[in-house]
Formats: sequence, C-alpha cells, structure tokens
Amino acid sequence: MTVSRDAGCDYCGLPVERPATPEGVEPGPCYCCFGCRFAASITAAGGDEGALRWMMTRLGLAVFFSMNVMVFTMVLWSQRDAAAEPAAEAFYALARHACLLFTAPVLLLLGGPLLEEAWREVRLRRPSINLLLAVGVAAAFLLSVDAVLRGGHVYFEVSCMVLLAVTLGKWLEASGKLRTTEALRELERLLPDRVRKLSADGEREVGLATVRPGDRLRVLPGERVPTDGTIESGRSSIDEQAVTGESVPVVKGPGDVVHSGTALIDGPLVIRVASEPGAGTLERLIKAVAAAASRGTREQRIAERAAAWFLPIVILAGLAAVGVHWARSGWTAAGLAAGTMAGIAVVVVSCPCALGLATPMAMWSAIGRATRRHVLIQDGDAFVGLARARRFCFDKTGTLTTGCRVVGIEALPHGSGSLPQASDTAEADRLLAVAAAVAGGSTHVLSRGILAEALARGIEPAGVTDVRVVAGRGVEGVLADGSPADGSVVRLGSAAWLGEVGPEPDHPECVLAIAGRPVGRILFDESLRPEAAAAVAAIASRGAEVWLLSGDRASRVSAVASRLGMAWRAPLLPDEKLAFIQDGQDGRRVVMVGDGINDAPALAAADVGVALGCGADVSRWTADVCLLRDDLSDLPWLVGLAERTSRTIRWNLLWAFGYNAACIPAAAAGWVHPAIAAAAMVASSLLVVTGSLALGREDEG
Amino acid sequence: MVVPAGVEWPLLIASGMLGSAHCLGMCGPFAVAIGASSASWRGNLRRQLAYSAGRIFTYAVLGAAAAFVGMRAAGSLPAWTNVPALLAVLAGVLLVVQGLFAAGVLRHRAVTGEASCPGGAAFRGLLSAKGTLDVFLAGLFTGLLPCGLLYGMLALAASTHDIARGLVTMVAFGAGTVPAMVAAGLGGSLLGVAARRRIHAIAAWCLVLTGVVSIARGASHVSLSGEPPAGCPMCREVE
Repeated sequence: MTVSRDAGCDYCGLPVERPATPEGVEPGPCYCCFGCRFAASITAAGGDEGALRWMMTRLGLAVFFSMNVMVFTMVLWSQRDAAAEPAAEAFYALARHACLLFTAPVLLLLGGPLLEEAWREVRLRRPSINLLLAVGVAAAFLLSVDAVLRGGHVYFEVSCMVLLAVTLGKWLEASGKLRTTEALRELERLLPDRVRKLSADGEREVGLATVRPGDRLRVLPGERVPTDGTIESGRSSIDEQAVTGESVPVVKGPGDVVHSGTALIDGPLVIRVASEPGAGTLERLIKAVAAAASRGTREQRIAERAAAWFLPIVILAGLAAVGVHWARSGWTAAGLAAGTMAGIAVVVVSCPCALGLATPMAMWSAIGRATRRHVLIQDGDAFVGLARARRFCFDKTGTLTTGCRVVGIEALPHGSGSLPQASDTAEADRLLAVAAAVAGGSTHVLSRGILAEALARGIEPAGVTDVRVVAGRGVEGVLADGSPADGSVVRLGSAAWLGEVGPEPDHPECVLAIAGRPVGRILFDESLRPEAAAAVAAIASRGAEVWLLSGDRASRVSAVASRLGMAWRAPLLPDEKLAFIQDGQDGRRVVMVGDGINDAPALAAADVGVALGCGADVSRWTADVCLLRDDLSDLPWLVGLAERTSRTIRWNLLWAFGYNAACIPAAAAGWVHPAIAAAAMVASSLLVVTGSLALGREDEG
Repeated sequence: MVVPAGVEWPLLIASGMLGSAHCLGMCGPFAVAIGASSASWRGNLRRQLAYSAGRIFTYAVLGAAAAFVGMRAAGSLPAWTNVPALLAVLAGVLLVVQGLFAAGVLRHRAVTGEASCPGGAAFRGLLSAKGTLDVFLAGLFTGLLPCGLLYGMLALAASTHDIARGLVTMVAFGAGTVPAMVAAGLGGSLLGVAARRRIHAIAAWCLVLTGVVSIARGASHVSLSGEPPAGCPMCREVE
C-alpha cells in the first residue's frame, strides 16, 4: 500500500497518511480520524449549513434518548429479586421495553457514522478499533432485544453509552487537534483570498491561486502582500513581523524584494509576482513548521510501533473474555451475555488509543505556542531535546553581541603585510567598495555593518562577481574591476583565515585579501546584546554548562565570556568548533546557538541548533529552531517550554500505557461495566487533550 | 422527626425560583440568545418554555442518577453509616455555602484562565437554531453546565435514596427556575436594578434556609441512628 505523507487532515491540519485504495488515492476530503470526520460534519467544513444543524440535532437527540435509557436502566438496576409480585413484574417489563424504545433511535442517530467509518476502514484493508466498537454495540443491542423477548438481563445502556462516549470522545479529540494547529491557520489567514491583478485591459480581482510569476498586482495600504515579488512602482513602509519577526517596519521602493505575508503600512505598491502559487515566503514558513510535526518524534515512533501491536492484543483479550466467561458459566446464555459485556468493556477501555494521541497533541500544542512567539520549530525531536540539554554553546558575534558598526578602515596599498604608511581616503573607499561587494553575499553581522557603512558614505559596492559564503570563515568572490588583479580571488573574513595584518587591534576586525594577500582590514565596535546576560544566566541556572565558542581573538572572547560568566574556547576555526561540539556529545545533548547561516555546520552538528536572525528565506535555514525575533531572551523561554512539553509527553504516555495495562485486564475479568468503561474513556481523552492544550496557552507563572 | 418531611418541596421550588435570580448571571445570556432569533413574542415564549423544559429534563435525570448513587452507597457501605443523613448534611452545607456566596458573606476567588469548551461553537449553533427541538436540546445541554447551586440540590436528591423522589426533587427545583429564566428571555430588564438586588439577597438567604433545613433533617437522622431511618429499602435488607 502506498501512502503520501505530505497531506494534512482536512479538519485539524495534522499530518495524515492519505490512504490508497487499490484504485488509487482515495478521492475527496481526508481526515486523520473518525473524530475529525465527525467534527467536520458538525462544523460544516463542507459549508452545508443544513447538514450542520442536522448533525448537531442528531447528537443532541442521541443524548436525550440516552438519558431516558439511563433513567429506566437505573430503575431496572434497583429491581430486587424479592419483588415477584405481578404488578412489579409488569412494571419492570415495561421499563425494559422503554429502554428498547429509546435505544433504537440512538443506534439510528449515531450508529451510522461509526459504521460508515468502520466499513471504510475495512474497504481500505486497515481495520481499526472502530470495527470492534461497532460489533460490540450491535452485540449488546441484539443480546438485549433477545432478553426483552425471552426474559433475562438487558444491556441497552451499554449500546447507548458506548456510542455516545465514542462519538463525544472522538469529537473532543478532534476539537483538541484543531486547537493545536490554530497558530498555523492564523498565519495562513494573513494571506488574502482575492488579489487585484493588473493587465492590459485594466485592474481585475482574481483568486490568489490563479496568480502566476510575472503577473502584476496592486497592493493597497493595510493589506498583506499576497506573493513574493519585486516592487515595480510605489514606496511604502512594510511590516515584516510575520515572516522575519522584526517589529520595526522597513521602507521599500522600486526594485526591492517583498515577501508574502508582510503588511503595507502606507503607500500603495505595484509588485511583479516572483513566486509560484503557494510557494511564497509565508507559505514556505508554514510548510516548514508543518513538516516538523509530520516527521514525528522518537517517542511518537515508539508509540506508533506499540500501537501496531495494540489492536491484535485488544481483539485477543476481548475474545478471551467472551470465551472464558461463557465456558465458566457452563455455556449458558447468561454466561455468554456476561462474557460479551466483558469483551465490550475491553474494547471500550482501550479506545481511543491514547498512545497514538499522547505525543502529537503535546508536540503540536507546543509548536503552535512557539510559532505565536515567532519561534519556529523545524525539528520536534530536537526541540524536546532542549529539555535534557546539558551543554549550551554560543557563538559570539551577532549572537551574544549586537550588530556591528564600522569604526575604521586600514588599507595596505601594496599588500605588504606591514602597517599602512598613511591614511589614504581614496584607497580606503576603494577597499570599502570591494569589501561591500563581497559582503553583499552574506548575512553575517559584520557584513551587514560593512554594507551599512558603504551606504552611509555613499559608496556603491562594485567590482566583484561570483560571490559565495565560505561557511564559518567568510565570503569570497572574483575581482572584476579592470585593475591588474582582475580575475583573482577576493576574500573577506577572519584574520585566522586570511592572515594577520598589523598588531592586534582593540576591536573585532575583518580582513580583506586579494589573490591570497591581505590588502586591508576593517575594524568594528561591538556591544553585548542587552538581554544576553539574563538569557545566559537563566540557562546556567538550569545546571547546564554554558560555553562561548568564537573565531575571534582569545583576548576579546575571554573578556566577553568573563562578563557573562561563561567558559570559552577561542580562536576556533569552523572545524575546531565542530570538533568541540562533537567531543561534548559524549552522552550529553549539546545545543549550539548561533547565526542561522554562517554557523550552519556547527548548528547542524549539534543535537539542537538554535539560530537567531534566520532571515526571511526558509530554504536557507539549517537550524532546528529559529528565533525569528532575533531576541536571545526567547531561548530560556523555549527551554522552559521544551521542559513542559517533555513532561507532558511523558505523563501522557505513562497515562496511556498505565491506563490500558490496568484497565484491559480488569475489563476482561468482568470487573468493569461497559458503561463505566465508556465514561473512563471520555475522561482519559479529556485528560490527554486538556493536558496537551495547556502547553499552548500563556506561560505558567 | 424534628422537621416534617413536607417542608422541603415548597422550599425547593422557592429556592429554585429565587436562586435563579442568582443563576441568571450564567444562564441568562443563553435565554436572551434564544429570544434574539425569534420575531414574535409568542414564538419567543414557546422557545423559552422549550429551553426550560430541556433544562428540567436534564435536572430530572441527574436527580434520578444522584438518588440511585445515594441508594447504592447506602446499600454497599457498612450498616452503621447513615448515608442518607450524611448526604442531607452534605447537601445542606453545600447550599449554605452557596447561599453565603450569593449573599456576599463569602467571596469567590477570581477565576482566571480562559473558559474553553470544544462544544462551545456547536452549542451556540443550537441556541440560535430556528427549530423548537434545537432549543429544547440547548436546554438539555445547559443542564449539564457546572453550577454550585445544582450540585447542592443534587446532593439533596442523593439523600432521598429513591429514584422517583430524587427525580421529583430536581424537577421541583427546575420548575422554580422557570419564571426568572423565561422573564429574562422575554423582557430582559423587567425588573430594575434595585429590585433585582433585593431579590438576589432574598434568594441568597432562602438558599441558606434550605441548607439549614437539610442539615437539620440529616442531623435528626443521625441522632436517631440507633434505629434504621424509614424509607430506605437497602437498610431494611441488612437487618
């Protein structure tokens, strides 16, 4: 059987394996569970208002009839054998008939959806517990009808309660799942359904899905940019918080790139569409988060394997219960009835399989909560691993320190390696133009500082082609300025990579080298992020080691480290950083916190890679977790969330295993009445769902 | 017996009637919502009555269930524990506490956190539905909403240890809540603020009185614990 995992449930959005029939993928909407199918019919996901009313009325009527059945059942339960008078006998017979009368409609009202689901699963050759439930309900009803006709104990309340509990329990789960994915749907709702498309014959409103790259769209103030694109005309402040977490608006004009999901604050824009439908920045961001959950976590995979064993065990336990009770009674009808009740109780207590629900509910709830805070989790396993992490490694520049301002440019006109003879402004400007052209290929803080400086001095970056990032070291390109050195490699990066230039400066520096020879250096000032000290202290107070790993000079790194109370290693080349992280992984979980792009290898090597300032382009993200807001105080918060998530998952799993381990034998022994089992089932669902949803709410304390 | 058995049912209706002034805070908006989608005065009345009928139906079932549980508890616990008496005392205490809260003698802690109910949206759908049946069902679900007053009454129903009596206890209580709820749904502000406040106060002390009567009844049984209380079939069996 082939399945595709990219699809989500059409109700709750959780990942679902779209089942394939022999004729191909099943057409129509796809739901992850019976509950979602039912809930979708109640909330009229298909948009049919009349059907919605009827489904809700159906449920209400079923509750009403079940309540009647319960009252008459309680009357029957309080019947005493001593009361053998004919009048009392007639009264109790009447009560039995009343039960039958009220149970039949419940079966008609709620039995349909369950039976449909069971049949669908049989057709897809993946029967589940729904089939057993349907069989159990039918068995209890038929036994009771037989008892009404020929005398004996009736079990109508079992049929009613089981049907009702299964329906309500599954609906409850579906609602819970829906809530966990709410954060993603909020993001999806940012994009408009209709857009204004400009063509030769004027402006026309069209559906967003019909827009293709190259189309021109008009976007008005207050609206969201519907696709990625470039501005053709107009100028506007743009709020990019949805995709970059940055709360300060940026001003963009003709030629600038805009991202889908960002909001126009003032002027209208005409943009030329650059992204395929559904492939804009915001959509890619949503897909990245959704993909995190579909990969599942270690605990989930264990639970799934356990769940595969679960159904056969339940069937065996149920059949054994029927057989043993029947045999011990000497094959009497009463014994068969008692055995059937035990069998039904077994099936009911083991449903819903909280095992399958325990982990994803909690994970999704936490991922949704983090998304609301602009923390994007791309790998659920890694995220939960934060809770057990014993060593946190931080990069320095751009992670613990803020963006850097250029404070000096020192040119070495002849590339002699000695100190510059004189400060030559023209030479410095030429240097800055080349450095800025190379820096344009990187998002490193120092690169951004160089670009800002060039912009401030009115220098156009020029003269370099084929720029690429050399991870952890710097940037390189090919010089194309018509000078004698034209065609040679130009590099911008650390002194450790490109060689020392002059005496050790007081500031962080960046060396520019042409054809392997240093030609100058740029000096920056650097200050600690205001939230860095508190964030590092919060991590350290959890008992984790905090390390500062940097390619910068030892003197400066040690100064920063001692201010923050961290251990440090410097200067480290990228492979040395990797080695340090891998050494630390000896039985411990190591977290690397760094720049999303420039620290990519270290982030990937660590058990958990946490990146700040990931930028808008999801495809370039390599970290497991991105702190979009570029705020280090999100890190201790996230570790706290991971701890709560991990605790909830463990508690959910413990509950699921423990509950089934205790209740299935008890039910098989006939100690649990099926109606009680039905109530326990709903309570169990409620516990797992509410426990998991609590993660999605505002922070505790 | 210190207190004649007949004293309680009129008191139940009264406490339902006056207590409902206090309950309008929770269930009043539902009644108003039901009235909102009805054009005519007559249609609205029919909807309000259907809604209340739904509530009373649920109260009755809960009362029967409570009485059944009380009966079972009386049967399964050792003979020397006088379960109905204890339940009556418990109910009395619950009602007195509830009454003191309503009277403002005791103060609620502020309830924090968002109220979340997965069925909320569906429930709102039923409230605004056109059909009388839907409104009846909305009332049926309203009866399941948590309510301190209801729990006190249920403990009282449990103390009757007889399904029929438990059922009637809750029907009497439910019937008492009908006038205020219907009035709320029909006119909303038929009464001025001052009048409502006065009724609220009377209602609160009426609850306290019901509770005290219940405690007295339970205590009278406890004082007679040497002999089994009348009307408990389970206790008779134990003999």
